[in-house]
Amino acid sequence: MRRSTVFITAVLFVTAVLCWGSPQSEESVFKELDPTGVQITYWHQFTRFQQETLEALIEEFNNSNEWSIKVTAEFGGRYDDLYNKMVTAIAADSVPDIVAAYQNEAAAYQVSGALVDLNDYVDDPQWGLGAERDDYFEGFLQQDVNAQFSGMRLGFPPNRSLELLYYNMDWLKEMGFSGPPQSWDDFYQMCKKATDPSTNQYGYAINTGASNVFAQVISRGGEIAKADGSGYTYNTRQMKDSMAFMKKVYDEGGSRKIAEPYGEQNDFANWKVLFTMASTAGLPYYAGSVAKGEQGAFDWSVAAIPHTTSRPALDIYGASVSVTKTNPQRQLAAWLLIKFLTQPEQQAKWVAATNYFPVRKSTVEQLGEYIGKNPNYKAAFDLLLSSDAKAEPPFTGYSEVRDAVAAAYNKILDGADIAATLEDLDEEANRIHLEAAP
Amino acid sequence: MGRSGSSWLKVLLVVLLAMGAFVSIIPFLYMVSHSLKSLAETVTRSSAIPFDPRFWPRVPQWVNYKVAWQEARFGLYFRNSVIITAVTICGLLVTSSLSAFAFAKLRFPGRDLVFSILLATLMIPQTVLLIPNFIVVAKLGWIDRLPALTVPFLASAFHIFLLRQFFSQIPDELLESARIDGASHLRSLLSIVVPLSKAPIFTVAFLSFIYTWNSLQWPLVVTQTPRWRPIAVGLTVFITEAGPETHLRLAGAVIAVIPVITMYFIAQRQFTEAITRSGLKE
Amino acid sequence: MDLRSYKRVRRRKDNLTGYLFILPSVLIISIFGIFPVFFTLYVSLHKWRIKRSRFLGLANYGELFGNVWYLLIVVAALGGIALAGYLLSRTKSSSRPRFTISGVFVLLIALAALAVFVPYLAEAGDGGMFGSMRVTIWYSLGTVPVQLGLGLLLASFLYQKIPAKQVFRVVYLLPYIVPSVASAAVFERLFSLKPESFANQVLALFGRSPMQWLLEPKGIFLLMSGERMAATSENIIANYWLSWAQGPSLALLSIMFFNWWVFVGYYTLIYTNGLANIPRQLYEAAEVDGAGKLTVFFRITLPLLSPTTYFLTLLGIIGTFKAFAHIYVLRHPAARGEVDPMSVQIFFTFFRKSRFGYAAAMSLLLFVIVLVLTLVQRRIMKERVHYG
Repeated sequence: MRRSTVFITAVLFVTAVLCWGSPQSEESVFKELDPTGVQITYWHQFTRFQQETLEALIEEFNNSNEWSIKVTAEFGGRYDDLYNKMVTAIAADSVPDIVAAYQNEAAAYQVSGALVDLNDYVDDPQWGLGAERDDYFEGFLQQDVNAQFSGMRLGFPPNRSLELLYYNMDWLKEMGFSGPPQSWDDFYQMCKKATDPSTNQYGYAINTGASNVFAQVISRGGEIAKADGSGYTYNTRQMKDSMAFMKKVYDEGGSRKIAEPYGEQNDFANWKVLFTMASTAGLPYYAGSVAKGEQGAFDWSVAAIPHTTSRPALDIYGASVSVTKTNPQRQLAAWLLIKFLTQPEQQAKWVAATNYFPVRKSTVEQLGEYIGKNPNYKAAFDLLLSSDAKAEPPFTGYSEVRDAVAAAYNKILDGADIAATLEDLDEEANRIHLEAAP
Repeated sequence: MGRSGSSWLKVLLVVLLAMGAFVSIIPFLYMVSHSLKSLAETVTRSSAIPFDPRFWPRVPQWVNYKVAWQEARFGLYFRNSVIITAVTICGLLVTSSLSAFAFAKLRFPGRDLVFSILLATLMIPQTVLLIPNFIVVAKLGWIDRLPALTVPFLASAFHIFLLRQFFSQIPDELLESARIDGASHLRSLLSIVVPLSKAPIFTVAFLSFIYTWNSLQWPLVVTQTPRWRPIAVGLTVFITEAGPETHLRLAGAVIAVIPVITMYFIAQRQFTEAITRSGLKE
Repeated sequence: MDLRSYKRVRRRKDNLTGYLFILPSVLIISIFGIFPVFFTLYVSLHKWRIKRSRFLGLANYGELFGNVWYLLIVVAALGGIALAGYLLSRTKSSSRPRFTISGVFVLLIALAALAVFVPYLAEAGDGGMFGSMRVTIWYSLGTVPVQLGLGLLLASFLYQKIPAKQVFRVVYLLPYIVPSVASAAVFERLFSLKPESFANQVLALFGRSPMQWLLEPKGIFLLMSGERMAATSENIIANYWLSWAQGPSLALLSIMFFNWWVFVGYYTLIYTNGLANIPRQLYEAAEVDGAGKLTVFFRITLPLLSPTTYFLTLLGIIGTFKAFAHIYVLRHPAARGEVDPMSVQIFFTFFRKSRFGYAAAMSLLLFVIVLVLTLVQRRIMKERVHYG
């Protein structure tokens, strides 16, 4: 063979290898797309000051983004109402471009194929996260990847929160305790001591939500869903122990059911109840209620839910935002808004107003001053970094299962046999799981 | 029941009625008294018995109303409700009178069959109607616009039924003489039948007023922004937004309720007469 | 033009006018009232999870009822009751004992069949739906008679010559005028489980301990019997009828209180009108004959009020089966299956479960039930109503 032929063949061969063997194409899937001038709508679930902050951020985006994208934000209702609205919207093909949704709600929407797989956007060479990917808390990002839908990323997290114990430190001190309860037994003792029918005071306002049940189970080292995603496990020892414990406290008067929406918050602010368990997103609300309370400000904070595990295991949750299937330009515009809102500067503003957790590590640096001035937020944030964060299952049908869990919890408090009720619950949850499967 | 009766019986009746009326008003008293309390008071100093001083605020917080008014856009919601109700009532009167007249006084093939089918629609449960109607309205592009809140209600079998009952009692001779004089059916309807039917027409107007003003489920679903949100939906949204602030929630409720009560007191006589003639439960 | 063709032209013009006049109403009602029924039927034949999936035929209905044979037996039994009613009513007109005997016989068999097969049907089919049917029936039984009775009572009182009549009428009608969202916000607090709530303070007056009201899923008879009626047996039939015997839940009862408050004034008003239509001469004649108050009431007033009663009962029962708003605003998730009538259950099936096809099947079932009830009522009441 002539030398030049060999040379050319070699070059061709090497080029072929380089093109075929490269891990990803240098071309973006969305290369031709131009989102200029696109108008999109965003349905959120925030009210009052949260709403104001979000709308200010969106206003900033509208004024500053280089593609002149205009976003209209609408309050769609709290989670349940927003979900109902979205279901109706999907049925009539009249959907917003971005909607706030919990992971299982997004899954429910995806049963009818209404959402976009955000992996395409996250990994895109031109529009994606690129190097910034490492700045995100990977655990948060993982929550939105859904195994029931072959690993599609059905949402993106703008923020997260933890389920924690709110406690009245001044009251604890008065009773002779030096800090929040570490174990469930501590919790029991403190509730008993705080309960005084003559002054209408009690230890704990019972949160019967499914997230709280989950928090109790994991605090004892248990799980509520099977690891392989095939169903639920509500009939475990940890679940039985959690229910039996709560029933004991309730029967002895140490805890009471919540009589009206936010009743526990109002009771807390007025020294009627010692402990509540709620989301860290409630921190600003609690602060506001305490300020308006009968006794004015007092020393209170948040702590890990009492646990038997060595490190606290805490329920980390939060609604993500999902992008609906409309047309490529609008979907891209929606993604660009999401990227904007998760930039450290915007995240810092959002966190300062709402006390949600940021989803990026670099935001923490920006928040230094805020954390310094807000010990309660600092306490919450420290817990985030030092505990085992666990998430509830993103299964379709989980919304319905949550209803069943809350009903079972109430039944047990009212005296139903724990073993029988949990057996029924386990059966019902798994039936729902099968029924709701995509 | 006669005119006679010993006076002690009458006193007894009045006492019983007064007790019943008092119990009936307690929810309203509660709404007002607790809307005037501060948030802390609603938690710590609360009672359900109007005779208990803790039922009433120590110092009435009138500012609660101002806050509630500003936080929710009650002014906008009222404007919307007024427009929606006015449009619906006018449209309903027109379609119902025309149809009732046709069913009562005109003869055409299939008349009775069509009437029976229309009546059958009264038995259809709301939930059957919700999603199909939403889909139709969405396809027509009316979501979050006035037509979605008005057009589906511009006709109603119930009101046609009401008016037809009354119209059929109008003597045929009156209409015949007008026909002979060359009047069209429309002219007969407008110049003879309508003036004689003030009471049932008033009934239709008032019934649809109450229904439209208080209607919640449909407007909740078809409005997505505050643009055309009526008062019932606005109040629901406000109650959600007010969260733990019980005093504001109740202040909002009072604000939503006052216009209807005011109108009621003003137009009392006609109200009660109107409802009596109808028999509509909800 | 001769007379005949003139009449024909005029007839055609009349027809045209007729159609034109009813056109707007028919158009709107067809689109927003009739079309949805057919659309719902279409949806009910498919697997429809927000968007249409595969065609299922009658599978949704199959899931709803579970077992076709049980359904047929129950429907036949209901038909048997109707037949028995017919046979027994014939005993009035004819004096042959044949009708009475066969009527009673058919009735007994039908009742026995129902007693045995309804539990099996409920077990085989959708428990949630049958539970909500039970709630709906309790709700109807608990509101219509009370509202009728109180309405009649108040109307009679207000018919007497007493001062401040108009004030009372106004006050009693007030709850009906007000948006239910607003009144529900207050009722939620009045019937909350706190010891200081209105309901619990009333209980305290009678020396009873506080109850959970809107949060209590246990039946009232169960609660009153000191919880001795708890189900322990494995027997399907016994368990099912026991769940009936426990009565409506306390939560449902609380919601009934709310409904009484809202609607009693309205019923009072209708009865007032009914009373006003009774000619005074009848009363005067009775007085002259020396009839006592009670006799007058039962022999004259009540019978002459029967058209009003019929009308209100019809509307009341249909209304309770269709009712949604007045229950939805007060229902609490803790009471769940014991407080949700069919309309609310259907709502949640549409939205919570997103099972549109299945929910559509339930909706049509509800529609059929309402239709049947209406027809049955018309039949029964036809004979009882005296038009004076």
